[in-house]
Amino acid sequence: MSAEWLIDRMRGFGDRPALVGAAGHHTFEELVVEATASRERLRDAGVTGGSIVSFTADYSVNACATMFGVALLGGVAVPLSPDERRAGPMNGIAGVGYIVDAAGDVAVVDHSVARHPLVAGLLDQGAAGLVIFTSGSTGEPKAALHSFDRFIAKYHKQTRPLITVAVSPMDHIAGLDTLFYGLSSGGTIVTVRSQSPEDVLDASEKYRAQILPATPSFLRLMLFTGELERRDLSSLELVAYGAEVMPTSLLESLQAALPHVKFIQKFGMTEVGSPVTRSPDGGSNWIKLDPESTEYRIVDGVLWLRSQSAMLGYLNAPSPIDEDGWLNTGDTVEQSGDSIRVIGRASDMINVGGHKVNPHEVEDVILAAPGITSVVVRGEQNPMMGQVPVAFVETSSDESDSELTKRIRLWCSERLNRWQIPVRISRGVPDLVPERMKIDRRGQLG
Amino acid sequence: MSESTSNTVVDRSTLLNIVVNALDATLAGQGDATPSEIDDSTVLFGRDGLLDSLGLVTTVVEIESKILSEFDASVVLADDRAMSQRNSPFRTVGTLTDHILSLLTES
Repeated sequence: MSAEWLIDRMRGFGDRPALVGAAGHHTFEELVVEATASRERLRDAGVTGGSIVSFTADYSVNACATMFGVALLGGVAVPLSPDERRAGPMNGIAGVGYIVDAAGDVAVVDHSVARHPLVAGLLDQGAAGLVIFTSGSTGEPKAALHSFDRFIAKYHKQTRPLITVAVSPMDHIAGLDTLFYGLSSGGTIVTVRSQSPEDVLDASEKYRAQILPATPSFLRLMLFTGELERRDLSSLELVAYGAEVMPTSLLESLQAALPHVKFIQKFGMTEVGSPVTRSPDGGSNWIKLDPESTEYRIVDGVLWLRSQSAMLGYLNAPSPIDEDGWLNTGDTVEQSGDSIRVIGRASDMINVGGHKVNPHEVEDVILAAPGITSVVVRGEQNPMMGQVPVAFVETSSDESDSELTKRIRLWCSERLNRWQIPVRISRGVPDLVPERMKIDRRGQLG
Repeated sequence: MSESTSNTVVDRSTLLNIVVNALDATLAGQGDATPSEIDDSTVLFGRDGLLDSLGLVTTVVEIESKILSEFDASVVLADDRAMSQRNSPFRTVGTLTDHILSLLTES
């Protein structure tokens, strides 16, 4: 069905390498064989049009094959991070009926859940679906449902095959964009052992990477490893950055360290996909949105988008897209001619090196720790990560500040992702009135 | 970037202690063991470093808070200059200590 044109194209790439690196080495031919086999396994397990199927999204051939297998059957693919602490609740939120594990085995979960109207709509159109999770402002992550067909439509226009490092996780919009760009053009996806700058540099060097898509924070940390000069990055042509604001000073330092590389700004959002963009001139953070696929308008300095690649809606929350198809991105932008530049965020989400952290989610976890009577989490500017979460707590315990900090961090590290953990934990209340209101609310709950 | 309201003479061993304690606090907060011996050559960040990206950020914030409370001096360790240096100041315990010392001496 929907993914067939892409499968046919990949078949045509034959024995060219599709995936190399830490998650295994596979040609396009092998990937297509695996995708077809995955479709059969899924069909045997009962997956049909409208079935919701989650899988471990680790860039393995299994993960890619499962995604295509689900799409070929007209189902809804739900890529989830290998971190099971997060994957558990997300299966419930997305109404997943089948779970495919890292080995490719299919487990049937639940068929009693009524089909979501948005999923039913996809089924009526004979289209497959794709769910990408985003941090919600009310605590629970939100499941953004895309039409798989529409999501991959932008990759129909074939581009030059390039070797690209997959730094962003496969369950993120940026990771999926990297994957589909690479696979649809006959390029090669380089998978990494971890997202540490050293592992990414190792893989870039070893596989002669040409494109490195990354966040400004990642690129800054890459500079801080002090290894750029010692590395052979002569193959690298392009660094595509996005997900947070690129400070000019950082861009200049990167250009000085990698003078042969072109730096371009990319734009992607879970809700609107990755619109086609052009950089008016390499090395600046201005972008032009392709008017054929994406319209924009600027309201009070905030960017609104209307895009063919936008999601259909959330499975577990009201849609933020208005009836005319416009979405408030929450990004504040500047405009110059027909180019725009992202300068900040309008919402209270904390952007930790491109990871969106919902302060309320972190507050809930800390409040559940022994002896904590109230908590406020908020973002603080940080020169390394853009923003970092910091916590203000009131306690009924009499431990020292450093004991308290260690205890809370350890508590958080067992329950949250690394980037959600407050880097500083202070006793007392912050001095902003809106924050006090939060404390009152939390205090009542606690 | 940095300002000091006191004229306290800062000696290197005090700063080294702050760096080591911050490192220990970060590792403990992640549930990781602190190595039995930490000295100037202990690698913090980069190849074979003890810290990953978020660990480094946490350690730096911890050090900056400590310097503010102990010396009443506000320093930003990851400033533009740190970024443009040929040798990263975050590589080892020793290079980071020297980096802090130079920031404090200037102020």
